Formats: sequence, structure tokens, C-alpha cells
Amino acid sequence: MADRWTLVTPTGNVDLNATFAARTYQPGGVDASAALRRDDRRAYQRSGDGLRTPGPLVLYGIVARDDQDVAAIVDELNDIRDAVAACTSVVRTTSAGTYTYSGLSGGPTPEVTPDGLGGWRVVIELWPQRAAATFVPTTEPVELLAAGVEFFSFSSDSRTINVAVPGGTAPAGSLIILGIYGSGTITNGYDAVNLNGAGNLSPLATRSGQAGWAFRVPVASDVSSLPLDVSSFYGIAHTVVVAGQGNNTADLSYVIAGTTGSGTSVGITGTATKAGLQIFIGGITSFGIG
Amino acid sequence: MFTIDQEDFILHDTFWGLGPFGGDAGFVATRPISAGADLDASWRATQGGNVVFALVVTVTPS
Repeated sequence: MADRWTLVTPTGNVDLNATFAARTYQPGGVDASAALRRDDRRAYQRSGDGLRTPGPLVLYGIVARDDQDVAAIVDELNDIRDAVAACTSVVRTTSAGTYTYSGLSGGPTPEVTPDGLGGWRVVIELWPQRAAATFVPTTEPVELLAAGVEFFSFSSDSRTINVAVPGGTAPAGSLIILGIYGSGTITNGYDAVNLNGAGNLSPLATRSGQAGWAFRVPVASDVSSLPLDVSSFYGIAHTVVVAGQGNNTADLSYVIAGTTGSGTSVGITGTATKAGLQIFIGGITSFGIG
Repeated sequence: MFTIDQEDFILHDTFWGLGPFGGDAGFVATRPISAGADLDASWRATQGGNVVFALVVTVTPS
């Protein structure tokens, strides 16, 4: 059985006669000047990477009648013309089943030329709806230089702890993200900027004497440790070094939970608003267990 | 020890200080993330905890 084609419109369907066929079953092509929009960018740009782009579904066939009934031929041509203008999808029926070309938004008046035998050659173009923007991943990944964890034992005194930079040195121009989980008070963060936005050294959250902090530290010149003045403190420092101190942070989220059993999952959920390098730190305090 | 529920995180370092008198433990992990992707980050420890903390923050390109 040859393919049969049906033009679907909001006001009814029109079955094309058996002479109609498609130029290609996969409309569109590879367009080296395709427009795309990068993640986090508003402007479109041209791409030469051969993204597949939409194009018209082209059907062609002949409208003719053995009885040369001109009125019937004109009626059929008019039906096709009206259906093409309002066409929203096309159904292709074969012996194997049907395939629907959806998301169409009509097309121009069909091209009609005489076939020299009293009939008419008809070419139909059906165009897709406006394409959605294509996003590609950012080409500027955040470069991770080093990451590490260290523990500071308890001291009831006020003191300065020097959080070692993992890998030895954070180079000038890099950015350090410092997460602290523990107990006590941070009294001076020097160059650390609190990510809680409070403009002081308060923690993000506290529960049962335990607290979590998050800071960003732009590195102006090479450093091997970060000083923090603390009081009655013990805790764990999570230190991550990334290239580029101009980097910003986004999607800060945290949870501090109470008593949990072994194997209990703790964490956050949500959707990333921006691309980048996601840093994940975890901490646990387990008094009297072990 | 630690188990991060999302397999695409890379675990970089851990401290595990649990002992007979209790203790503390922590880890740091990272992964690249795209805008619109799931931000979900959760973990579990083989040890129960009195307090458990989880924090994520995304460093975005300048």
C-alpha cells in the first residue's frame, strides 16, 4: 500500500489522493547558520556546528480525473488549498501504521501547474511552528583547583585557626569557598565574605550547639592558609579552590537536621538556577556513639 | 563512612573522626551543574548522628 496523507485542520481532515507523496520523510536539514542561544545568555548567535533545523514538509501529487470533471477538480484543489492554510498536523498512513507530523502551522497557497493531460500538479509546503530556543552548555566551566577537609579539635580559648589550602597554595586570582561545620564562635573572618548575606560572621544555621557557615574568599595574592579567629571552637573546615576570583555564587542551600539513624539520607532538593560548579559539603556530629 | 546519593558528585576529601567518645566527620564533593538541572544533594552516613549538616552552593562563571 502506498503512503496516504491526511491534512488535519481544526475544522476537519482532508485526505489527499493516492498520487501524493513526500519529498522527504524528515523535513528540515542541517543548517550551518542556525540560530541558537547559550545558557545564561540572552543574545542569539549563529552556529556552524550543524544543528538540525526545522524545514517544511513538502508533499506533491496530481489532481486529475479520468472523466475530466472540471468542477470536481476545482473542488478538490480548493479543499486542498483551504486545508493547507489551516493545517496543524499531517498523518501519513502506511501498511505498517500511521505517523503524525505535528506542530505545523499551515503553509502558502499550493503551487499548481497543469500536467498537460487535463490535470494539475500540486506542491504543498507545510511549515513547522516557530522553533523553541536551543540551549547548549556553557563553554566556561568553573575550574576546580583543589578541595579538602580538615578537623580542628576543641579549645575553650580564643585562638586563630589557620585553615590549610588543599594542594598547598591558592594562586592569586583564584577564589576559595570555605564551609565550616562545628561548634563555637567565629570572631574574625579576615577576608572571608559570609555567604549568608548578613554582613557579619553569624552561621547559616545552628542546631543543638552545632552550626554551619559558608564563606567566599577572593585570593589577591598566593595564600597557603586562611586565618580565622575563633572562640570555644571545634569543627571541620571544607575548603574548595576554584580558578577566577570574579566567580560568583548561586543556589546556596542547606539543612541542619537533628538526631538521625545510621543510613538516614539528609540533603536538599531544588532546581539549579545557574550553571557552574556545585559544591556539596556534609558534616555529622555523633556524641556518645561508637 | 559516607555515601552520596547522587552518583555524579566527585568526592574529594573526607574526615572521619568518630570514636569511643563520639566525634565528627565531614566531606567535600563537587559536580558541574547546568541551569535547570536538579539541585538535589543528599548523603547518608554509616553512623547515626546527633546533628547532621548538608550544604550546597554553586560557583558560577564570572
